[in-house]
Amino acid sequence: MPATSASLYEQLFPLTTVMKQRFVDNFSGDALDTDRWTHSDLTGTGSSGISDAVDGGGFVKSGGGSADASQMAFNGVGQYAYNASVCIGVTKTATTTSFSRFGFTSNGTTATNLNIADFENNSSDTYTSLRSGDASTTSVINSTTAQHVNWTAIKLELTASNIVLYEEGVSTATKTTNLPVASLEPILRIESASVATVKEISVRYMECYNT
Amino acid sequence: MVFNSVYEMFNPLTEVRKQHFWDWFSGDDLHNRWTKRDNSGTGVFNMVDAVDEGFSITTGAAATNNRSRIDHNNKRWVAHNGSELIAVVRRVTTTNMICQVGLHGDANTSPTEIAVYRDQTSNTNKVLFNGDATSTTSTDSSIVVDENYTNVKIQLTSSSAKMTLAGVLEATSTTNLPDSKMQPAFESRNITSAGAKECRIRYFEAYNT
Repeated sequence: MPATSASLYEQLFPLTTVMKQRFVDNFSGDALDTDRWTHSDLTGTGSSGISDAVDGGGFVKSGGGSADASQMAFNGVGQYAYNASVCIGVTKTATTTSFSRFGFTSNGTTATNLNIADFENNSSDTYTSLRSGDASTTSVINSTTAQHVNWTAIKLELTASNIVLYEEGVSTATKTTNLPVASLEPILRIESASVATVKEISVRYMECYNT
Repeated sequence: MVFNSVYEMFNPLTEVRKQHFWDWFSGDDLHNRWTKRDNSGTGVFNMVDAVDEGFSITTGAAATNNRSRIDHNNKRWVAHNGSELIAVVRRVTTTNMICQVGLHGDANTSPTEIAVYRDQTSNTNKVLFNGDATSTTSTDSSIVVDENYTNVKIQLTSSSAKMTLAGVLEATSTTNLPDSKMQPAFESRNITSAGAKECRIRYFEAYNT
């Protein structure tokens, strides 16, 4: 029997600790929480929403063009520290011939690849990957996990010296170069890699917090 | 013990978590994840300005069987054969009404795919009410209907629906179990005569197992 406490707060911290910024989304309900999330179309016209399927969670879909891309994020509100934060989620790239990103960006309304940190699942790669960018350069390293289209539990841990990617509790990549240097917001992005059909990233849970 | 994350309160990071939802019914209005629905008549939906009274649905008053509810607008993410829900609810009006909370298969007026706790003033005891696509079953608990806040838990598996009230297993049903995907729902309904009837909810949590 786990220990209980009078508050949710005390499940996370003793009352002597001043909690930093945190958000949790279960992606369950009649519609996406658009008070929180802003959908942006980078190319083409996609959509974001909630799935009518058991354990389906939320989604971002691209338009039907072969190079279309869409995302949802916090509309430029960067509350998470580039050098001391964590992002946990359950997500999947729901379609092949696509390129999905889960994690942090410095600007959730544009296609920027600078000041970012994300888990990538590119159907044309052999492995999933960890990508980050500082103010001028972006780079990518492979994880040790073969590329897939299954639900997976992701954790990104950002510190001043590195970013560590965990996939289902196992550290699969650590990156020490091109770390972001600006405040961050959560992001989910889907891009069509080829073939003119709608591509989709699904998300069942997302939690980010400063450490 | 403290947890590093909300995620780890329920699952280790080695597990791919299934869908999970909760609502505290605290704020200036209902969270936009719910749809307010008047299945019959025009109800009143409001956050109650009182200590520990949560969210209220009062039915329309014009006719018998006026009913109003909140649900997930047919975003049916809950498994009929592997899920649990916990809710804290109470019937406010003392006569001629049904207060129910649980899972519905459809947003229409009378979903048959259903698994709910029901406090009905014309019954002696609170019941577990469940149904498949064609038939429904009502199973009595030992708890007399009342106007007190009640802690309800319903567990759905492929072989049974179980209802626990205040921590005690009170009803088990093995017939007419729902057989399609479900959504959370909370409903007030008047019965027997016209009139505005009220039910309140303080907490709702559902998750797939």
